[in-house]
Amino acid sequence: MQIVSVINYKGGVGKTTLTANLAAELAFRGKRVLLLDMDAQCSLTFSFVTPDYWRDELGGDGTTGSDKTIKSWFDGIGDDDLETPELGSLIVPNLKVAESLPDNGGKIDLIPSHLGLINVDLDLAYMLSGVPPGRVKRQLAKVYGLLRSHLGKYVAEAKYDIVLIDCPPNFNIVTKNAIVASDGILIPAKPDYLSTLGIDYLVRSYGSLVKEFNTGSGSDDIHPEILGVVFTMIQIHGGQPIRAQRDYMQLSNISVFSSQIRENKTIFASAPEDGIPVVLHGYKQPTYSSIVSEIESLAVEFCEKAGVK
Amino acid sequence: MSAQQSALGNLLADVAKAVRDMSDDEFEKLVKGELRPSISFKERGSGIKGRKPSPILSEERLRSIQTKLDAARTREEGHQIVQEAFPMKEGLFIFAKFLDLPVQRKDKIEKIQDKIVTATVGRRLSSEAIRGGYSAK
Repeated sequence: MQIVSVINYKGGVGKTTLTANLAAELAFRGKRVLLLDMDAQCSLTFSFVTPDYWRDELGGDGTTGSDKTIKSWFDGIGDDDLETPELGSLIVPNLKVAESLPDNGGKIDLIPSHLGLINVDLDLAYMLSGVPPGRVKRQLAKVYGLLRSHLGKYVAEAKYDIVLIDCPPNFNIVTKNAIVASDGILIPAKPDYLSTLGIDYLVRSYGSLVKEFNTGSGSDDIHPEILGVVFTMIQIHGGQPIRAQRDYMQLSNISVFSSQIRENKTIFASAPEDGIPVVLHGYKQPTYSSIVSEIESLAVEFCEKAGVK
Repeated sequence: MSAQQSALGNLLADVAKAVRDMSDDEFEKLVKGELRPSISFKERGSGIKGRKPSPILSEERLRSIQTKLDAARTREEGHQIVQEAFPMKEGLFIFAKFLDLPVQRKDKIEKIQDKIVTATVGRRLSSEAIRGGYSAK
């Protein structure tokens, strides 16, 4: 079993699209996939359920119904007066995507996100109030490890093959929880100047977090592996990425996936609204089927790098 | 200038270029007498287009320059390496293409040099500055 965080400091790099399609292809290949949306923008959640269902049935915006999102779990952790729900109780039932999967044991389960997740940092910070200065580091490391202890236990029982965590484009306590809980880190990036700088920021923050956790938590050391960078939103000309993008694809100090995902607004723009990721559509148009092939290729390479059998 | 003077000037310019494009090892061997120059004559082509890279710009030579840039500690050092290795635009252009950089024939020498140094030394220094000593391993 592998828990993998999908993250980039830079927003707008196709992170959620990559996560949804990778999950769909893995499920199509018979893998049991759990998706955990930790981004308060809820984009991954809205790739599989409609916003009105999320609001009315999952309480995702805080206006109606009881909260059945990952925020309720963080709320329970941060407030002794609230009950902490089992992560498994937050899985959205009957996703539409299941209808597009073959009957081979593969599945996608989703734990949805909440608009208020952006405030969870403050709530968790209260957990540190009153802690003597000398113990803050240890306590902070324990906060970071909360998801690790809960998710690891739950996932082991439910026997998922892979857990993909869609992280927000920042490094707050929520993101740190995801990284600490993970066995691997997957970094989607656009091949441009600022996106590649975002990779370096992430490497620094990741390194600092691992060091902080391993010296302060008092629990087992963590060693999440950076699986590599997947270049997304590639513009193809003459059968290869345009030269201006190739210029930024030669990274010598981090592993880079050979699989790449090209830009195509025609099919990527509308797919989330259907609730069915692009890779599960049977396109006949050569350009579209090429994109499906690229995602299939990425899934194979991902399984090799992440050790998913 | 007579046609003869012009031809002699071109000949000497070709010799000067061949010397400039030599690697350090080749030049050292030439000075020691271990390398003997040979001159061959061929008809001039109609222009740069279609001309094959000079033997002194072999892939091995280009890689050795790339290795030097990989070891450069400052952008200035990078500029110096590039200027010494490729004093002429043609060599510079070939090296930029070798690095798969987006350059055009109409670009000025300074612009191509900047692109090469930015894409190699500059990018590495930027990455190191942001990472603050942490690696992806």
